[in-house]
Amino acid sequence: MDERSSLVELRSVGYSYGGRSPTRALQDVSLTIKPGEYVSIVGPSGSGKSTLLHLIGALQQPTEGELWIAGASVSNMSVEARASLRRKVIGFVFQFHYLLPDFTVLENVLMPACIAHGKPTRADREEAVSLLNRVGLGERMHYRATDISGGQQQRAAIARALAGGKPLVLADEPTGNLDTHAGNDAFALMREFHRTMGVTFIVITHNPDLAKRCDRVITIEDGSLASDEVMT
Amino acid sequence: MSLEWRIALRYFKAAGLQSVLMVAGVAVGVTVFVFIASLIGGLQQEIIQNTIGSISQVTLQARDTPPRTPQELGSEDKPGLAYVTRVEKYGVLEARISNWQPVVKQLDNDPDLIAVAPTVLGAGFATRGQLTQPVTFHGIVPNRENGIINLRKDMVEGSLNVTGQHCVIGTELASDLGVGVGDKVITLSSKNQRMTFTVAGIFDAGIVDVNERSFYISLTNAQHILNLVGYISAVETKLRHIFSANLVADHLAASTGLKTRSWMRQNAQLLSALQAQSGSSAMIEAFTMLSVAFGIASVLVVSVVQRSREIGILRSMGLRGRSVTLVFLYQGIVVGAVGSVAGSIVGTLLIFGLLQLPGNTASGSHLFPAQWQFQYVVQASLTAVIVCICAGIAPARRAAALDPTEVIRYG
Repeated sequence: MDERSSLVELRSVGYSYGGRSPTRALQDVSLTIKPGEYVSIVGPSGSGKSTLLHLIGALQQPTEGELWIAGASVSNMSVEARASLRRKVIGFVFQFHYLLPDFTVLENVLMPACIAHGKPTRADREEAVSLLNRVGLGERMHYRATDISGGQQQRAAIARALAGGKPLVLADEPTGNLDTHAGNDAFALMREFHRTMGVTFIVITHNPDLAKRCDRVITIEDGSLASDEVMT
Repeated sequence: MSLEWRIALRYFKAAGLQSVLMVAGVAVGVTVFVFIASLIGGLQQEIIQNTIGSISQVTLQARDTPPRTPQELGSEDKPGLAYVTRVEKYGVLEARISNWQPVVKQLDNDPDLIAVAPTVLGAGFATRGQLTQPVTFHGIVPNRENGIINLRKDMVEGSLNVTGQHCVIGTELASDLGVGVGDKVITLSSKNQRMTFTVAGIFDAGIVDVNERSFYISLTNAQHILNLVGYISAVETKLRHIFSANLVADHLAASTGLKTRSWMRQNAQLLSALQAQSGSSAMIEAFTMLSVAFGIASVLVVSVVQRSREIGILRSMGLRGRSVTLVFLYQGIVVGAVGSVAGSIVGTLLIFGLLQLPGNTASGSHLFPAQWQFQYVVQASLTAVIVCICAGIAPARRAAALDPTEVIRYG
């Protein structure tokens, strides 16, 4: 597989943490994710799903093997180079929305642009407003992040992950903290952005129904790749 | 406004009571700084005014002359004949400077000096009827001498007029001789010269010895009765910066070739007392600021812990470690700036409040001789902001070192 044509490429990736007696969280994982895919990662608690997501998100570096994201090798990148890669390529959605409570919804969505180039441009604002309209928060964009409901907060977090035209969104249990209705809404929203904008989504979920609605399901067990199934 | 500033300001605003406490801590520190500096500064100023302020701060006199050789003395240099010489040092009243006008002109142009006064000094007696008192003659140029001692301020009767045959004497001498303005006094100098003067003014310098002995006359009359025509005894000066006296004295000695006396070398004990006061003041200010720094650092550390989740999220979005550091340093600057403004206002009001308290009505002095200066406010504010930045360094570094995965995983 050529890493230049893939968005994410892992070759025999392993990850261990701890000093003298390291614990192996992930071992010998090889997989490729192409641009525009909608992938779910499933597996029991403690299987290494989140570790895999953190590696793909360039938050951590593999202790074994090689990892490429958007054509760049992450294995030997400095902390600041990985931060730069995240600014340009990767958006995150977490189980808890993690919006900045002292900022408005719009300011939260503009935050990636502010981090990237200090001050948001008019285009950044237009994009943020458009994203908030699409997630149904156009009316509440000037509310403080703490003044909207949980479902709305997660939708705002999805808009924030997409801001700046990022090609890859990593979602760690994005519906885990929501009721069924709000969870379905959030998932449908991500599906919609995938379909219309061609964004690649990698979603960790415990929900088998949601996993089945993805194009591809990767199963991790005991830190290893157990299966990689394309859904039809 | 940069992102770091926007986040810092938002955190400052959102922190509510924490921010208020930090600002209050800085404000108290700045208040103490301004208050102590004003109080000690005022106290020193009063001491200086009452002592050094009414004397020449650097005095120029003639150098001691080296012993003259037998040839210079016109003696014969015969073999087997030995001469023994002894150096007689000039006392202040005996030293004399010739060709003094160019020296005064040179000193007039010296930027370190704010007043220059040639003076002729000599001993003698003042007599009125059967009463005779020993006096020290001061031959002065009134406008110049006033720059050194501010005699006009001390006049209690008459005026500072030494023209013609007029003199100005102290209250004690006037009382001892039983004279008032318009009365005549006969003088006899140590050089056995007599002259009669009319009292034109009586002063009170606040020092009995000065009031008892000083007898001010014109420079020309003093030169005449002291056999110093064409000479002066000394050049008195007042400095722009009083504590630069030693440096200025050395520089004037080198440039004029005269002997110089600095008030700092003549009053070592007073200087040491003033320095001790300044040292105590600096210590109080330093310890106050140190306690402020610890207070702010501890609150900022708590703030970092509270904000760690947000910092982790911002880091996951690609915020640079340097930016995280700046957010907390800027928070320190905001706390320092707001606290400085508040502390400066409170400190200033406190000083002006103290100045309203009734003091010594006879002398017109205040109960607390505080002297507020804008420079104290600037010093206190700058120190506070620097202290706050320093206090923010450790928490800021801690924030920048946070691992986003830990924060995301464990919240």
